[in-house]
Amino acid sequence: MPRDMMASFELYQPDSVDNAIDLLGRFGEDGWPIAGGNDTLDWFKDRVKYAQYVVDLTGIAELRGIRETPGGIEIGALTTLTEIEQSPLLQERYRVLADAARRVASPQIRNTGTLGGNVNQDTRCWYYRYGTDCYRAGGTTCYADTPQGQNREHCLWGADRCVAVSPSDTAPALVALDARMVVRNADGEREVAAEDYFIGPDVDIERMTILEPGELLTAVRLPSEWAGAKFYFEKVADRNTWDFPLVNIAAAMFVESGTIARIRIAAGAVECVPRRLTVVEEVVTGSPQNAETAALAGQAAVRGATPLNYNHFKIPLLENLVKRAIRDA
Amino acid sequence: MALEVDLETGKVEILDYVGVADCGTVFHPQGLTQQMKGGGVWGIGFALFERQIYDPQNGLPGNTGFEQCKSATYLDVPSIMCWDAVAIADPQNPVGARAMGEPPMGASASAILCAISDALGGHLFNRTPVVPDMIINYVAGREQSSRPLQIHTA
Ligand SMILES: Cc1cc2nc3c(=O)[nH]c(=O)nc-3n(C[C@H](O)[C@H](O)[C@H](O)COP(=O)(O)OP(=O)(O)OC[C@H]3O[C@@H](n4cnc5c(N)ncnc54)[C@H](O)[C@@H]3O)c2cc1C
Repeated sequence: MPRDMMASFELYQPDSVDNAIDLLGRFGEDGWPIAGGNDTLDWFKDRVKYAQYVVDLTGIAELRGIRETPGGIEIGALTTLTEIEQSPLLQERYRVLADAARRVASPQIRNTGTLGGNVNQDTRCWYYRYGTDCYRAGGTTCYADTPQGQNREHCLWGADRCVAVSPSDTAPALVALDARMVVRNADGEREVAAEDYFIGPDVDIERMTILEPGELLTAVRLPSEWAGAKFYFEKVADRNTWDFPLVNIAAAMFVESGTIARIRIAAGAVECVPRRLTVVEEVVTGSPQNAETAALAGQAAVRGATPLNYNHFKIPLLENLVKRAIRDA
Repeated sequence: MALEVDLETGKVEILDYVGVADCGTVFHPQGLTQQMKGGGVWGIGFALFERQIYDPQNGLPGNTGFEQCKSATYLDVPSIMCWDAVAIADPQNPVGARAMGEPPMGASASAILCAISDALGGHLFNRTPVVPDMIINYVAGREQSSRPLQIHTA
């Protein structure tokens, strides 16, 4: 298979969201929106995925920037991860997202990679990326979930023919912040909770989000409800940069006189969607923020995990990260 | 080599690195510096990051790009790495020199593995690289996922 040589495609460079949606509507399944291209061009160069019509979003000014709104903050989908990482507004009010963006990939990738691209990126299951005819690629096999399958990076929950995980570092932070994803199509705009935006193989095995062909994510809204909370983000990867998470954790909580009053917490890379740990939220709400509560939270977090041959380390790892989030936030 | 092991995340942080070469007469100190530091970094990769991923059932290699090969990055190596040379001329060599390319790699890799073992009370993994999942599994008292190495003897 020739690698590193892209097949040619037609490139469209609309200057407004309306035009982009019009184009994507026309191209349907053959269209592909591209932002920073860090995920897209991998697929194209490896000749594993191909689109005849590529719609470049980078010329659309209305998709950029971080703005204050009456209800909180709105981040345009085309805002780069570097801009998010360095935004004083986000650092001050929603630090967990700035911290998550800072841990994505490498500085070069963050300079061009966008928030929209980061949450819409495809899974990193290496069999799928290799171009096998697996379930997610429309075939009838899962190569990762076999006795000899190399599935160290795969899921603990939500396996359904496919065992791939959500690789995004920003996604769990958005779930923790109860972010709203703004989706636009030819009929108009709708808001979807971050928690409902990501979908598992049980819903649709070939997609990772609810976006249909012809739809764009235009912005992400962070509600003021969680602004200025105590935050925790941690990512464990093999390397300290330029590496996907083995597990990551994002938490937002309000602590009143030592007691956890409200909390949202989510983990990445353990399921095909960022996993909101509602059981942890229930266990710790109303409890003192201390080591004992943290230990209980850790144990609760991993209940029901179903490991594969090479990934059972994610159980103690997730337990420890939840423990740290509660203890150290 | 001095390092810290985080028992909750399995991450290893190298705090200090000193390499000393028994390389005979030193001809080119700058070149030697580069060998000692560069080789040291490769050793860090051997010991901590560079895994071969292979699916034996389907004959598929997992390392198809730099990103999967995981050589060490700037953030994975100590910011200051020191070196020195014994600088005793080799009597077997007309100019007193000795080969210098590979020794720092093996030496730095073994120093890291010894330091990890020391940090874990003497536990030996008996394979490289030692990656977070191995440390996490060890600390949690879980079995390792990888089986002992199988040798093809046919
Ligand atoms: C070597 C390497 C390491 C990486 N490490 C990490 C990591 O550690 N953590 C992490 O989270 N990510 C990591 N990534 C992934 C990378 O960060 C994300 O892919 C990046 O944020 C994608 O942004 P982009 O704008 O470049 O995406 P693009 O490639 O342009 O787009 C990605 C996908 O999103 C779709 N898309 C983009 N914008 C929109 C929109 N507005 N509406 C609808 N669909 C849209 C595209 O159609 C495409 O399918 C890594 C990538 C590489 C190549």
